Amino acid sequence: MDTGWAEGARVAARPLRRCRVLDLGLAPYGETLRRQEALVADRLVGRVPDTLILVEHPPVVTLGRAKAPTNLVLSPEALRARGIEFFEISRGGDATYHAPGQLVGYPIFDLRDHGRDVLRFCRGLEHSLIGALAEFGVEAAAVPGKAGVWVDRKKIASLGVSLRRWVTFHGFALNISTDLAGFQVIRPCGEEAGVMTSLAALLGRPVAVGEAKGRVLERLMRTFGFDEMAAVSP
Amino acid sequence: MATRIDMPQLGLTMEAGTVLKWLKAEGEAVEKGQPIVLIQTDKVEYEVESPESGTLLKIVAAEGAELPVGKPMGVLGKPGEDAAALLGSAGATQPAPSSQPQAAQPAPAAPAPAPVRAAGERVKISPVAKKLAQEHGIDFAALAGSGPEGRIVREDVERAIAARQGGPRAARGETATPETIPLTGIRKVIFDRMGQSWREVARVTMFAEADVTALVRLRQAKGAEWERRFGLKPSFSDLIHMAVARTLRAEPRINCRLEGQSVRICREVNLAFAVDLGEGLVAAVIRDADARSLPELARTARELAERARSGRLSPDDMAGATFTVSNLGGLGVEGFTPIVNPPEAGILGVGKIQEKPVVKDGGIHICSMLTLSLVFDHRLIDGAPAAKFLAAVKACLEQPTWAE
Repeated sequence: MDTGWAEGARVAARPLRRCRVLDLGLAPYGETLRRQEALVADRLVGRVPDTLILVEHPPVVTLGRAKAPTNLVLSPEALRARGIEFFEISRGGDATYHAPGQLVGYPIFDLRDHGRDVLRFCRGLEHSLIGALAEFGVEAAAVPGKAGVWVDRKKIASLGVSLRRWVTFHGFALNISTDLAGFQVIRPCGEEAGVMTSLAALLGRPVAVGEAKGRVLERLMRTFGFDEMAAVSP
Repeated sequence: MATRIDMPQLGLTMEAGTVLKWLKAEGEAVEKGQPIVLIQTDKVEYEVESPESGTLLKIVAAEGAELPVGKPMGVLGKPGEDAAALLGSAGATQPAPSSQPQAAQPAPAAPAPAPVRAAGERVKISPVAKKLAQEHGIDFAALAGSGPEGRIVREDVERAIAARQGGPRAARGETATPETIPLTGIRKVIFDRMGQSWREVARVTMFAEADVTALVRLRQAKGAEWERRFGLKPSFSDLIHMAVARTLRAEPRINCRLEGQSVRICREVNLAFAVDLGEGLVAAVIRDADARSLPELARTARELAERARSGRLSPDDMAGATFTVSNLGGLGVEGFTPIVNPPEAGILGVGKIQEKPVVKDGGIHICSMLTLSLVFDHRLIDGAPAAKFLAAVKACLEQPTWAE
């Protein structure tokens, strides 16, 4: 039998929980979606560890398969005429709008390492964003039954997740300095466009997406129990 | 043989899902592992993969239908097989296939306080509970909810049904100290689970006495500082939880659950601890206990105990445990053999810390001694790994460098 000290030392050692971070900067939706699909396939066979994509998209409207497209205010053709891309995708949630100034995160996590509970995963994402916003002095909250992050009655972040076996994809979109007028082309997640807000709007000053990235990453790391989050070159 | 495709449970708090889109039509052939139907819950979309190769014999839930977890969406099998037979058991839920997550274990829930709702406020009730209430003619608006945010869940309706069947006294709401305690509600759950555990678990107990003198001194020395830094002073239970959680991570063979015909060695350490409610007890679960710091463990345990006593534990708080710690030291118990909570494989009983004369280094010293009793299910774990684990917990408690 080992001495007590050695036993105590062995208790401290365990495999590291790693997350890779892929910062794609400003990247088109379609290209990022293909990237996600490839990562999901890799994650399913364990070829890569948990990976988080951080990205900003040029203006794009995405529609999940949850409801009929009654939450589009403009038709896909009208959108394209305005230079806004349109994608119909396999993802939970409803109509969303992405644009520069919005920090979009796609965690490709294997939930077998996170308690096999996708609802808990969603709450974890919300919790992380709430924590990051608190550091800016903004008191945000999750609302039971309404996924996303809310400040009073305004929505500052949207959530829409897909699951293949236990691997997650799609994720969250946090409005940092997004031009809120852009949301008028849809009813975001079935709500009136006026419900959306952004960090810049709440603070009354310009905020760079970069200011929030680090804090969001740190909160995600804490919430999901990662020992290290390492940036890898995209 | 025909197989049912049920609404999967993707999370412990998931109660229902919506069928979004069938990816195969009735009569179409399906390969094992191919996505067969798309479902949604909350803001999550999930492709259900076919558990077998065969033909989609029958679609039971159409696109747009909302179903409780575990209910059938469709039936898969060989052409010509009888699908109806599998669907015959209305109201019974088939155990989920092993690739899918387990449905939440039925767990004792504390009786909820009387509902306080503003007039006209919408009653929060789960779809399953609502259906059950309607089937039994229960006015669910008058019920107290023990689920999250005061939501009425199935257990609350079941309790109301049992109470109604309790007879004229129950109807009159008599609450004098009872001479008989009916086996309903939380008492029934405890009765059933304890009985089942006793009958099925191949119970072996191992004892160890840990010299926790250093731990006692550490807590005395650091108490004030912890209070200042964390806003609370971690208790001995919190320290024991931390030691056990870390040891479970290092000795994962003990951190397992019986699932169907296999033993699943869990990566997550969800530590349950017993909370005495007065009229019963409940095991509250600290999820990912091995990843939490001492103040987090302390805070979480307090919150869970608070919630347990006020009847606000959610299914998440009560299910998914991989190991349990039961500490009766505070009640003066010196040592005892607790009952394993299936489908977990082990439970650690902790007694009170006693000053005892101990022979050490050739002399007699007064040391703070703690009796640990590890009770484990020998069907699932062998003696050697259990002994190793107990020795590791003892060593961890005797050398508390991790608590500094």
